[in-house]
Amino acid sequence: MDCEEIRPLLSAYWDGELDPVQAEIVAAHIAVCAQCAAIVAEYRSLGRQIVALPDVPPPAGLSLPAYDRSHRYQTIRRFGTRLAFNGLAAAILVVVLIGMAAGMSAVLQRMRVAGQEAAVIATYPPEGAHDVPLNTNLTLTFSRAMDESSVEAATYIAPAVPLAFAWQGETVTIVPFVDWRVGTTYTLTVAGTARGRDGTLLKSPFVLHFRTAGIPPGREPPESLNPIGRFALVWRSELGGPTGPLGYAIVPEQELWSARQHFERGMMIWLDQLYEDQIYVLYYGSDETSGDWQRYVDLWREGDPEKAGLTPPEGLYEPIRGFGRLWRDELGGQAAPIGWALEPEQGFVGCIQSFEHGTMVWVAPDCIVYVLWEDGSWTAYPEP
Amino acid sequence: MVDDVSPVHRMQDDEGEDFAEIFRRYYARIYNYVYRLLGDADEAQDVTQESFLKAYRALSRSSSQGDSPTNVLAWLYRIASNTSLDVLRRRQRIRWEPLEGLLAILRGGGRNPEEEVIYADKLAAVERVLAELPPRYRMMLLLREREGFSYREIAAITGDSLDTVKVTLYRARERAREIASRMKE
Repeated sequence: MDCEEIRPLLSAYWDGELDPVQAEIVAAHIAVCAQCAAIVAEYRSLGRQIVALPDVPPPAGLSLPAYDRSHRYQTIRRFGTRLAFNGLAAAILVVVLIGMAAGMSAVLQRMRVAGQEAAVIATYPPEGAHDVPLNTNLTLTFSRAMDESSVEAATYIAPAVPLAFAWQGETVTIVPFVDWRVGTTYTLTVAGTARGRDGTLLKSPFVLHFRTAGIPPGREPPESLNPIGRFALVWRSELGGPTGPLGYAIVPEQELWSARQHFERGMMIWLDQLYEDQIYVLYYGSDETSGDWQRYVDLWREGDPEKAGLTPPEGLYEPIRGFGRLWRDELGGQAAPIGWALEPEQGFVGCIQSFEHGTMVWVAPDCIVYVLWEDGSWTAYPEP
Repeated sequence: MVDDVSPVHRMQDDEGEDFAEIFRRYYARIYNYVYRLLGDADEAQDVTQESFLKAYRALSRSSSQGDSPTNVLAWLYRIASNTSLDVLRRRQRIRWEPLEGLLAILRGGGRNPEEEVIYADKLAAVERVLAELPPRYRMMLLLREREGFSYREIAAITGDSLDTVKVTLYRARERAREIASRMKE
């Protein structure tokens, strides 16, 4: 093996993570190659210096905020003043609740007719609300006293945002740890595993959609969010910048652990998102530069079986781990429209950035920026 | 290394007290890791607290369902890593506080003044290299070099495959070499 083949192995060699055969080959090489030996020496020096960085004593004030049964209330306070509704927010809430009173009474009537099933009978913001302020808390009112932990465990939001919960009687206030994103449609789901204190399960899964406020007309989007690097090249030269079809960026570019795998009729991209890893499935259209896409939550976890042990046609591969689970459980497995994998999955450090009307994803191994449009179509832009 | 599990297994019996034990045992370690990731003592304090809070909430839920994680330290590092990366994404560029670390060095170490200056310069240099690395590269290097985790343990923390850990560490070291070389010019 020459230096070019050896170099990618030097890091794992220094860490003692190569298999014995590879380790022996590398050891023999660096014994006669001063350049590669020098690189290992630099790795060693870097490691020693990192280890030598002094420990910093934690500040005296560092303490667990609260771990008793009231922790959720202290969580809310810890994350600011959102929960302390100011007068305006409270007034808006009152107006909305009054406005919903007629509808609520009808719902309550149906509840009485249907018996004592648990259900969500009021929400703020209301279903389908638009222009929701970015610091809005959500409230759900249930038809009965609920088992709080079961509701919290059954509550999800997409796009994913960490949430805190505060209960008052049959109403829960849901507080996002960070502001909602600009101009984004969120879907809050309370799964059917939520139950009342008497054990009654939620009548059916509850879903709430709302859209956050965008940049007000006539106001420029913040320049700090403008894409940079390869995203900027595609955005400006191919898509017309902020006045083009993709619109302006609503979040900064994020660098994420990613993986991708090509299939017979499409590809999958995995993104290591905070709390909820996601898999994008891109189906080829008339060619391999555009088509339709769908997004899924990655349900595979370390410790789950990596694969089902299927026998693919010669030259093709069974997808494994998260891709495999999605392929088998959601896409139809061997009958999946996307087909079998053409190659093993490949990990890389990718980038993602959301815009008004879509998302850019950088797939490093292919040197391609994929634009996932909000209408469910996608377009590939090779790196300029 | 990541095998400290006993407190979690008892959480169902007396979750508050046992979680306090987890907190006492690991908070200094997690705080230092977060501090090295973020380079800001105040943010490190916030993120450490937030991480333990998230861990408590997750552990208390999972233990009530008889589904405790087998590896609490990996859990804590994962939560602290994700929470730190979220902070870094929001602020784009690391704000390093080199003086605090250097002063700690200069207060002790048995070196003469000249040696201490040279030593402090070296540490300041490696802090600058770390600060210039992309967050994920910095995290991988810290987990490996400073925290001493194996590739398999890092994979358990980050949710990556072993190949991804291997490749990312290689790239992180190469990038660190480039930065260090540029700084010497």
